[in-house]
Amino acid sequence: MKQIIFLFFLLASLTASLSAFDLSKVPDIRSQPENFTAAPQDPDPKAVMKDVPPFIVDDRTPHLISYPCTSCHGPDMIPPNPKVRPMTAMHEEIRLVHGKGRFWCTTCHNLNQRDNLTSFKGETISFNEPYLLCGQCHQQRQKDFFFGAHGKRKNTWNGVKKLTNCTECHNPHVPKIKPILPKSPPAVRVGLEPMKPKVEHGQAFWPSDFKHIKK
Amino acid sequence: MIFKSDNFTSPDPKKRRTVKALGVGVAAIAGGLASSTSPHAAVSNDKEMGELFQDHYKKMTAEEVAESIARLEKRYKRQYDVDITVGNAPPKEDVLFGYALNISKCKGTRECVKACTAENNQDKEPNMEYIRVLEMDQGTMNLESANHYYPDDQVTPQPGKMYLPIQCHHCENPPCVDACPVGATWSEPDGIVVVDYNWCIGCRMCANACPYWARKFNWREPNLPKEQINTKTHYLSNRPREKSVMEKCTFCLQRTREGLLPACQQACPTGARVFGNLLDPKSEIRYVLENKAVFRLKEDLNTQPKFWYYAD
Repeated sequence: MKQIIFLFFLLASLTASLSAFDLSKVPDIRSQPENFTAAPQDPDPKAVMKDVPPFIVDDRTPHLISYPCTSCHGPDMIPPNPKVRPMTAMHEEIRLVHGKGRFWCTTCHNLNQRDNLTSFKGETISFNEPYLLCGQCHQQRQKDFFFGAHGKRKNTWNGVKKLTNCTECHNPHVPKIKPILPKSPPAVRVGLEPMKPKVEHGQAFWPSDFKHIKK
Repeated sequence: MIFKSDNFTSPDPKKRRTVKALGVGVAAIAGGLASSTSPHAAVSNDKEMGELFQDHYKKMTAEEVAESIARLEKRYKRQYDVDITVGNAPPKEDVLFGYALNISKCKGTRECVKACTAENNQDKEPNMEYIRVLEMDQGTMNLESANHYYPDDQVTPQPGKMYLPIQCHHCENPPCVDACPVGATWSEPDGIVVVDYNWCIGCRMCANACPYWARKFNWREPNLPKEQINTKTHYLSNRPREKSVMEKCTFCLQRTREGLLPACQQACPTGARVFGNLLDPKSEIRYVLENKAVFRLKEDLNTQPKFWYYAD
């Protein structure tokens, strides 16, 4: 019985709430386009940097081997070919270990303006500002980069803020940084031997625990 | 000038002057003898006479400091045959230096260690190093079982290992300063704990008091080859030291007081190190402190280090 009463109240309240909205009065965006603006899809890729403190980076283009790309991919030269295919004549050395197989050259390289990169929305991004491109997926890293928790500041701690560019450290095709050999360990004081690894708490300690190591 | 440490008692200036006048004569004879007999005379007992009687850095007037610097530069020229400039830049207004280190970025390559020794004129044989990089198992934080000596013929990071560089943490409540019986070490207004190498008596109390193993002692005359000397120095930082004085990281005072970044931060290949002004709300260090999970080493000792670690 209680359930029936509850359902009745539920239905009554629903109809009451629905009748409060007159659907005919909800404006149609398509019928009166002049009254509405679409959600901003900023044509400027630098829109993400609105609240970011100003900084500068070193240019990357002098370090790119085959830049400018238009020296081969210029107008009336090699025609743009967005097809996914194995590279044979050129660029066969590039291994794309990034994006787990979802990427192709033209995901990041601009097919029409060859000396530039492209965002997912088709905005043109310079090779000197790759942080705008990388930040499309790595938003948190991009924010850390802008505010100083990722990447490295150069030269001065105050005054002009110069940051390392993403591609100074990361190869964009193989972004993961490889392990390298460290520098030499500290010298041991004369007459002493290097510290031996100490026995961790809870590990073998008593001589009886080492019986199995007998020669 | 006010000393932070209570246990520093200034000598009676009158008495000091008398002793000085007497001592000049005695020391002149002694110095002459030493330089003629000791085989290390060219380096060790070769202090300028005025150095033996100069006052504590903070008690010297501007002229006395200038005299002292001229004496030092003269001695260094004689010892090393290199023109070394000893700076005396004062701390900047409204600046308190702080450091943050990203332990998830540090790969233990020891680049910071070597950049530090290239910058700060430490003893080169055997190497004195202000920074030590500890290798620990991932998921542990036992400084006592950490490995300081991981080899340089294996790549880092090794799987399953994490790396934690330690250097002077420039505590706001520095136990080393309290331990010094002569007030030869103190905290500067910009937060840097410095040593007056000419006032240090070499008792090593500060090294015992430091919970971060940051202080290094010159057990013997530092071996500093001429070609490895950094000629741009600061009185309180990287000017060449002598036997039996304590030294330590100064956040590269000679660089940071001129607006440059410390050598270790510049050398880091992974960008794990963040340096800046803690009083500037827009600085990188403040962003890290406000937005990352940070911790400090041995926080329970209430030393209040200005050196944070974070992971992301």
